[in-house]
Amino acid sequence: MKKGDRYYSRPGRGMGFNNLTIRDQEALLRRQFARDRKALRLLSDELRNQAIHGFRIGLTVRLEGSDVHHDVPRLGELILLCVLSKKARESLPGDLAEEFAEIVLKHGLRKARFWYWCQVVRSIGPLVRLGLVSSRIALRLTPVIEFSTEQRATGERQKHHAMTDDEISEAGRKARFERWEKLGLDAIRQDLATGGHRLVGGPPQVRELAREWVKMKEAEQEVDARAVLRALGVAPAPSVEDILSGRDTALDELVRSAAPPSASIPASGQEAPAPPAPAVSQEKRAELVTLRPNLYGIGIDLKELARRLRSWLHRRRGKPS
Amino acid sequence: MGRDFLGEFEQAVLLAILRLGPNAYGVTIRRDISERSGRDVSFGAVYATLERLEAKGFVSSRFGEPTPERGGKRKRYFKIEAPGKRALSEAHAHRKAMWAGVPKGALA
Repeated sequence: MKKGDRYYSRPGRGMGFNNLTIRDQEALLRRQFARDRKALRLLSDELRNQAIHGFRIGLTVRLEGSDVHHDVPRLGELILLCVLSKKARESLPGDLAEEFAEIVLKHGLRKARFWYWCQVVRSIGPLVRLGLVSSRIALRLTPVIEFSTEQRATGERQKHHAMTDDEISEAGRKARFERWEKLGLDAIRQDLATGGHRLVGGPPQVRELAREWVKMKEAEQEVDARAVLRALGVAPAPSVEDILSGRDTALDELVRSAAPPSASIPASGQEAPAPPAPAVSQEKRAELVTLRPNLYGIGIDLKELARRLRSWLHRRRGKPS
Repeated sequence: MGRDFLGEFEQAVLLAILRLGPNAYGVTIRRDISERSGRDVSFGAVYATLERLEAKGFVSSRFGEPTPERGGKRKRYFKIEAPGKRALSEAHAHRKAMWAGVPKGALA
C-alpha cells in the first residue's frame, strides 16, 4: 500500500481534512503550524516586553530612590582617582555613574558592572599617556589615601562623638588611668622604658599620656614620702638633681624652719636681696656637673671643682673661704 | 601650526562641544562622538583630550550642580574658546587644502 493513497483520520478535524491526501494534509498542517508559531512568537515578544517594562518600572523606582550609584564598583572608582587630575576627579566618576545607571536600566546590573570595569581599564591608558600621572604618581595616590583615611576617620569620629585622631577622649583617658593603676607604676615605667608596646600600646598619643601619668604618679609619691619624713622628723634625702646641681635641700629646709614665719625666704637658686643667714653660700649654687649633648654626654666644670676643693680645704683648716 | 595643531580626536571633541552648546559635558560629548563616528569611545580618552585642550586654552570648563543619580558628583560643562575655534577652522582649512586636487575616483 502506497503512502500517498492513504487517508488519515484525525479526531477533531472535519471530513474535509480526512478526505485530503497525506501530502495535502501535511501542507495544511505546516501552514497551521507556521501560523501558530508566529502567534506564539508574538505572544512571547509581548510577554518579554511586559517583563522588561515591569523591570524598568522597578528600576525607575529604584533610581528615584537614587541608590543605583551605590552599586558602582568602588575599587574601579578608586583606581580612576589615582590617575585623574584634581578637576576630573569629581566629574569623570560622576559621568561614569550617570552612564552606569542608564546601563543598569537597560541591561541589568551585571552588564553595567562589566561596562564600568571596561571603562576603567580603557581609561587608564589615555590618562597615563596624557601625563596626568607621569612622575607624580605618588602625589596622585595621596588623594586616594586621604580619601580612604578620611572615610575611616569620619566613621570612627561618628562612633566616638566627633573625636579627632590626635585626641584621647576623657572616658578613654580615665579608663587607661584605671588600667595603669591596676598594673602598677613600676610595670608601666618599665614598659615605657622598652618602648611601651607591651602594656601601654595604642598610638603615640597614648604612650605620651602614659609618660605624663608616670610623672604625675612620681610627683605624688615624692610628696607623700616627704610628708611622712617630715612627720617622723627625718630630713629627706637630697634628690639626684640636687646632688648634681650642688644644691643642699636639707640645709634649705633647716633655714626655712629656723626663719621667722613673717620673713620670706627665697627658694634655693634665686638671688636674695638681703641674705639673712650667711650659712647659705651662693658659691655652691654654680653647677659642677652639666649634661651636654656631646660625645661624652656630661661635662665637669674644672674651675668650679677647683674652687670647691679650695673652699673645702679652707673649711677644714677653719678659715673662711 | 605647531602648538595649535589639532589631532583627529581633538577635532571630534571640539566639534562635539560646538554641536552640544551649553549641554556639553562628559557623557553627552562621549555619546555624540560614539554615535557619529560609530566606535565606542572611552571616558578616559575623552577626558584626556579635554584636559589637553583646556591646557592649550582651546576650551574652558565650569562645574554644575551635583545630582543624586551621579552619586552627588558635579557635572563639568565645557565651552569652546576663541583659540579653539580658530584652531578648528585652521584644521578644517588644512584638511580641505590636503583634499584639493585629489581626483574624485582616486579612492575607488
